Amino acid sequence: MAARILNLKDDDLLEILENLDYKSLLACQMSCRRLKTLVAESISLQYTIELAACGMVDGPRGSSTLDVTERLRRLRLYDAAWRHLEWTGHTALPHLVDHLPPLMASRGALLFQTGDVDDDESDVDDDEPKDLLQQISSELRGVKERSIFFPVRTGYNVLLDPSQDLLTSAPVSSHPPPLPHRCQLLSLFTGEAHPLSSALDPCADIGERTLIEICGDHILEAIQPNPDLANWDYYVWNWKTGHIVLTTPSTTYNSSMRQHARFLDNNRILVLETGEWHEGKVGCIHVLSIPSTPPGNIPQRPIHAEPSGHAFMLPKFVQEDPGPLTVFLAYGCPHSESNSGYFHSDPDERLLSIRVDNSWYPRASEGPDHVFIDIPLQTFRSYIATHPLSGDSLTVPWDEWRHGARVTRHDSRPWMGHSDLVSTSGMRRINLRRSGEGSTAVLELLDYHPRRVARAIARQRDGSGEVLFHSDKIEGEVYDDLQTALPCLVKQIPLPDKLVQQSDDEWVISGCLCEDGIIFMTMGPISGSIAMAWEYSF
Amino acid sequence: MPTIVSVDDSTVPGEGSSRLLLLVSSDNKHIVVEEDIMSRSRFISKQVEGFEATSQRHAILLPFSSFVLNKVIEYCSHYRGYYLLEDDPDAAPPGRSPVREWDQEFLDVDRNMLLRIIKAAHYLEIKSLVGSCARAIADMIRGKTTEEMREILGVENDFTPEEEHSPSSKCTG
Repeated sequence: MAARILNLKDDDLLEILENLDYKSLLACQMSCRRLKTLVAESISLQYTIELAACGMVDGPRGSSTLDVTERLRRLRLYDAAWRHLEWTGHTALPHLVDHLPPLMASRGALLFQTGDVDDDESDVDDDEPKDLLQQISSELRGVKERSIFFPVRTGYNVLLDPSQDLLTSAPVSSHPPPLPHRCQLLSLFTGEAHPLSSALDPCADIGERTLIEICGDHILEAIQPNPDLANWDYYVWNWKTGHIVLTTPSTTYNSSMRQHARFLDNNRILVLETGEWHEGKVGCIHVLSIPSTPPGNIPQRPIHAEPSGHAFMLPKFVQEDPGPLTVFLAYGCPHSESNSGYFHSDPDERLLSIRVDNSWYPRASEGPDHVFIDIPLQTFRSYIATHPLSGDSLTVPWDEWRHGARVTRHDSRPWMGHSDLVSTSGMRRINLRRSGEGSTAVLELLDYHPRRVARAIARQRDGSGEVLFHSDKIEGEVYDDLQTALPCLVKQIPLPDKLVQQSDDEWVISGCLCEDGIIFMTMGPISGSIAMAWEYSF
Repeated sequence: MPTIVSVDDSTVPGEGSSRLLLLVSSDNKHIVVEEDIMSRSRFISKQVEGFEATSQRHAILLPFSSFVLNKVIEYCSHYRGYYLLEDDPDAAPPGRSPVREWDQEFLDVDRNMLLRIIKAAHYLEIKSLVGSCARAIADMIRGKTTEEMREILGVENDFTPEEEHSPSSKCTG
């Protein structure tokens, strides 16, 4: 007699379901009534689904004092609040005004370089310049507002991970050697360095490195081994296990290349653009499917070893390939000098979105300055299914992978240099654009989630929606099966007057979207002393 | 009522000081195993505590076959003397169980066997084994379509056509 899964007790079934990702959970709950009820009634499973659907990553286990029920409640509030965004008082954060504009903004924190810190910080060495990391409070994530000072170490760059816990810093300059070039990992929740921080340095003395992004367990870095050779490598390493997932040497130097890489989705797909030229006028895109890398063989400790020991020993860092990595080389990608390398995907990995300027796209010469090309990632996959891999990679010519692409034109003035993309968070994207000669700059909030788009359509039908769609600007081929997923939900919000009144040249804008919806924007001449943080929240 | 079978420790050569247990499977196979090995099972531990209290030792009847029981004993033997966080009743719940390579090979069995093992592990209260089985079953269905999941899990579609196509059954929010 065949054993049936439904003969299992609820506890065991839930134990099985806990191992599934949100997409499998959604599929699973459609299979029968019992599983549907189980999924629907389990708070932790609902939390898994909704967290992933919001494009968020949970913090380290135990970092939050909130239980799952409370986190789910706040997550739903966040989700609902997204549709009613408004500017708050947008006052400058009081004690930041004297500092220079932030060096960077990352996941709810701003990094300032300060001259000398002459306040009551008694334990701070007076002679050393300090960096100030200003973390902004987030009720949703249980993050408190606080300032963290640390000594400046010749051009470090700093990133926070999406859970706003892991502070990662890496040197950006190798001069003068031999500085100890260590990537530092600090947990803001515990205030302690991650154990791997001392034991692990994938590229200790290699040279200049740039942190690009942290997503989930993975940290993406670009590393320039030798300034003379100017060859950039990309490293994706799993900070929990210490595995390097990927190194992709690029053959041609491209100074802005390090901006041309981005994790898509929950760190399973990485897109890189290289400066490699093909047939004289086009670049190439690497789409990499990163295997999920479980910790592997976790050492077991003999019983009675250490009384405290709940923590498993982390495996020592090994520089080895953890598994097959699928690489798609897509030649023929539009590439131009002003192409700022711009990738995005929705959480269901349907789209690869690329921004190019009109010098490449022939039909763009009719008017629009920039075009977006959204390509279903499925196109790559179906191509791969029918073509043999050579080695670990597959080369896809543009004519093959462009099929199904949607082209969106923007009739606006040119996007503002590299500041057009303010932030992405999961399937949400915030763009800054100007729609006219003067000062009518707006933030565009784009939402890719099909479910929300469906709701927005419903609201538009009943006349109560204030939601705009880009659908009237869509041109080109559209796949039927993508049609429902493609429309971006767009809300346009004027910038605060103060910001708009500045002349074009003086704008410096950066920002980030964190879990409770805050964007930080800075303004003023780069050399000046004005810095303002604009809060944009629910 | 469990059959009373006396197990005389002195007559059976044991390893070290570990005492022996007699387990009886549903197909009436008698299996002698060291108590120490089975201490990972909360169920067995509680039985043994009962033995201590009453100073009477008897066979433990188990509602699954010797085939499954031997598999569980193999698991417990492998981890004899090892601390596994999930099996520590005093430890905080570890959440998702860690991947252990040996477990993956050990559980490389067909679906029916896997389901029998997880049921046995549940009965015997061996949390680490339940967790590993759950992960193995989840691995089989991860990334599959609903239809494929039904096939793998042996589940029948018991929705009415209206329910199946109503948006509420597809949306979770």
